[in-house]
Amino acid sequence: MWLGVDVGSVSVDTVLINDKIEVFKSAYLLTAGMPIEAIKEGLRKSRDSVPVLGVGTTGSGRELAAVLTNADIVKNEITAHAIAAAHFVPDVRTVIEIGGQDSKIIILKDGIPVDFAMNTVCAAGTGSFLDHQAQRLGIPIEKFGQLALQSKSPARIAGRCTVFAESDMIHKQQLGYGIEDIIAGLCKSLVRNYLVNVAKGKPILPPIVFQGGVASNEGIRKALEEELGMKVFVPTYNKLMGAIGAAMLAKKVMKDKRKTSFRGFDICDMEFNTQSFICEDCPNTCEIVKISSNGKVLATWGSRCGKWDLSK
Amino acid sequence: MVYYHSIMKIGIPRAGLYYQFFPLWDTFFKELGFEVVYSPPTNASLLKKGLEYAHSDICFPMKVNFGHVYWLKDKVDVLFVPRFISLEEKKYMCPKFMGLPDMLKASISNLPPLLDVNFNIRKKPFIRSWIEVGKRLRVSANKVKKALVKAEISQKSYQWNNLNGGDGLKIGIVARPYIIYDKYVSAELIDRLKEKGMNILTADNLIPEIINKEIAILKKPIYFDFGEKNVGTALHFLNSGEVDGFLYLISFECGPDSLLKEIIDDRARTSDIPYTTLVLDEHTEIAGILTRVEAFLDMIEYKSKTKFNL
Amino acid sequence: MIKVSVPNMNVVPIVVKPVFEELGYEFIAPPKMSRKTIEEGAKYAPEFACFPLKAVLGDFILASRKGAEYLVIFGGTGPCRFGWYGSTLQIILKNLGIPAKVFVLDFPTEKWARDTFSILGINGSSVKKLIHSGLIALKKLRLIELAQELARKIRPFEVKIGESDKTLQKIYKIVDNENSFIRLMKMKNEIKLMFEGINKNSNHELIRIGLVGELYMCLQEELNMWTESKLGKLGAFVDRSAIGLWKYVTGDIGLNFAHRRAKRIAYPWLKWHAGGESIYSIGYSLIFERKGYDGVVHISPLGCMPEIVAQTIMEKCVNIPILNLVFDEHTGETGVNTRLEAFCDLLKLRKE
Repeated sequence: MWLGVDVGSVSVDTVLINDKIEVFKSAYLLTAGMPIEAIKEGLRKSRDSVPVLGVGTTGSGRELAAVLTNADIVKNEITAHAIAAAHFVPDVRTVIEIGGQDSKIIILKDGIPVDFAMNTVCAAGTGSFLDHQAQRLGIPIEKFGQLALQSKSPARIAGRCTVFAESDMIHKQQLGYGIEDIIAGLCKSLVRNYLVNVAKGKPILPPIVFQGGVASNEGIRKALEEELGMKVFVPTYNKLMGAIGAAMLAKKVMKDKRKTSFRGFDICDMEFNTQSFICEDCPNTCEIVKISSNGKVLATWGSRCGKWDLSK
Repeated sequence: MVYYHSIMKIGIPRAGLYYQFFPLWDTFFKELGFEVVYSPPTNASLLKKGLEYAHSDICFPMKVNFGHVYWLKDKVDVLFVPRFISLEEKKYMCPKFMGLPDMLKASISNLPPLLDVNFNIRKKPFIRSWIEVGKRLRVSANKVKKALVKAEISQKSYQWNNLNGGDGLKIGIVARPYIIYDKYVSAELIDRLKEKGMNILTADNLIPEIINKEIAILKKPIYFDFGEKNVGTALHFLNSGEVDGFLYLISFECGPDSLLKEIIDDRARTSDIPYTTLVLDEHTEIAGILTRVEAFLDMIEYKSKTKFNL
Repeated sequence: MIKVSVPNMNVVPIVVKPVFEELGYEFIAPPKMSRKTIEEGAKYAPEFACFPLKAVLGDFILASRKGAEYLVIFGGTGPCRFGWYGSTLQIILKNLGIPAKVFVLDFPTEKWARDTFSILGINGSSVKKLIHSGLIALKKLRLIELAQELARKIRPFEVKIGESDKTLQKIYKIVDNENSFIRLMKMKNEIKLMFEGINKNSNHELIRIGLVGELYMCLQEELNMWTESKLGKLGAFVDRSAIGLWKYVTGDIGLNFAHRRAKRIAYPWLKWHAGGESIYSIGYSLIFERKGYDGVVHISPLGCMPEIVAQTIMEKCVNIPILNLVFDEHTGETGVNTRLEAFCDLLKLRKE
């Protein structure tokens, strides 16, 4: 069994896969601002007695997850997503991944990523765009997709950023648009923002795999298909693709290595303390984070000059 | 090379420097016997195409420009998209104009041939650029010169901005030509204000001497085309009090204006002429612009009333 | 003694110091660029101004707090916005109540540019001495650029990661403190030996990446989040032959033949140099492609006019992967790291 952990800005996904890259156990948890607790909880849920042969971590919190698990491989989420998508859809040409605060497009050829792009300056093409509006409308995000599908004439919601989109949405509400039309409009708006901000200039060719948390939203998928004029495939484990990719990478790297460095599932019950402080030794004023367990410092990071790094 | 078949159709995108030179261009090509096809005034669907093809970080007017070219590309035999490098001695257009024909070629496929002749007054007078345009269209230099004489007359005699007359408020508007005269981009601001009985003053209502006098205070001359004209106009408004207030329209991501605005802001700090900046881009809501303009006008009116009461 | 400062631009403060000291000024180096510089600059600069202006403003504010009275910056007459920096900075500083004067070094052929030179005393001081200090400055620049080149070569192979960066910092200090021309002449071998002393692990496959983009952003590593060094540590040899201070100086007067060649190669795609580094970004990317490089990293500040032109065209004409990195004061380092890592992964996978 190989363990993959994907620590994103919004959620933590853990997955255990077997030799044939089948998902054996998995967990999807919201971080709710406490990534360490979420990682522990995720591991607890995918805990099993079968031996773990390797651990891979990915996502923006990959370093943290790597410290907690003592991972065999730490990989960025772009590579992880590409590898997982190419496994489930071997001839995939385009991977569209929309996550909580990041979204990306990956172009593949013969199962190998050849180009990619990520959102740069704004989050208008990401899940947080919908989350904000869902909160404002008082509609649980899970119902968003279903409601969007009921719309017959989606409202046109303009806006480069979530704030402007919100003011436009309020305006449309004042004009008397129905809730489902507004939601469908938001879905369209997110897709437009994604295509303009992230996918601009990239050759979007079928087959297209759409993954990440937002892919569960039927409304977004429909809007994406309409805008692209192509069929979009959402894999069964859309939310777990990053973690699956990390696990696959662990499997790959363990070919040449004998024993995993995994700390074991006991970490679910270990106490981890984080301590952060600002180093004022130079004008960079780096924020240093120190992680320790049972009085032993496991890792520090954040310093520009490397002064606080632990020598391994 | 471009070849004749019946009457050649020359496409002119209604964007960019069209708004500065259309009387000249129109007369010139028509004098030479070509059919001139214009893209329609900017509209939402045209802009949508522009957004699709232009780089997302490029300025708003360029995105508009891409949309116009896209609209024309299958309807004409040749597109007039010159490379504007310098319009005035010791000035430069912004880099995006210098690279416009190349960017279009790189971004939009199946374009008709482009008349991408260099217009660079630092290197050669415009008449030589026009002769080159003629050459590409297989027209003799003599014919070009004759057409150009007529074209220049119509350019000079064009009335840019008519004053309303009457005793409404006098409002100045400072902006690049492709912002102020593109009704979609500027949210029809001139028309809307005129309808309210106001007098609108733009840089085109001022004689060059006034502008030159104002910018003489700058130690280093502004090297952007339209830079001196806009800054000089704004300074004149602030110094002379000829207007009751003025608006400065800039497009989001406009490189030159982002810095030149500092000169105007600096002078405005010590002037009591009301002034406000409106930043325009593809996400601008007309309602938002109008709200701001309305508030601005209210402020002026309130101010002038208290003045009269004194 | 009047105190003079210049903006941080890679090693410019080190290089120009001997010249200003020769002219009889006290040279104040701006504090090493840090988050504070960028924050100060971004606070007072126009919102839509490009990122380098904000950084330079930060430098000027901090330098004037250290007592600098004259702030010197290069000029230019377009089409890039850089030529107008001086005038803008002067207005902003004036409104902040900072008495320091901004001196713009423009072409002395322009009448309005001449009095800057006479105030700085360049016209009055001894020609012989000026040439001497100028030579020292040039020598320093050449030495530092040599060290940077060596660091780029060694980074992908270093056993102890970060060692070449540390060596580089050491060399900056040594070069800064050495003012004898003769000893500077002898320093070349010393620098080479310092880099040879770094432990190398030579048996791993190398990916080769060409770096192109806007000059200041490419050189000022605090602004580009140490892209060059990070790529090296990820196992990539970074070719920065497209950009460098020496190149810039020689390229501007047409003496740089590599630059001329790049221009020629880019010509079919961009028929007029649209200012900044636009035509070189395109030309060198095409050269890197011809040389069989694995990829190109393109660095530009947000809203940079010439580089947007270059980017639009590069997407069409360059057939190896390009990573566009656009920076401004809001850019997060995590995102940059992820992109760099993923880009190197992608290039490695393509090679397999």
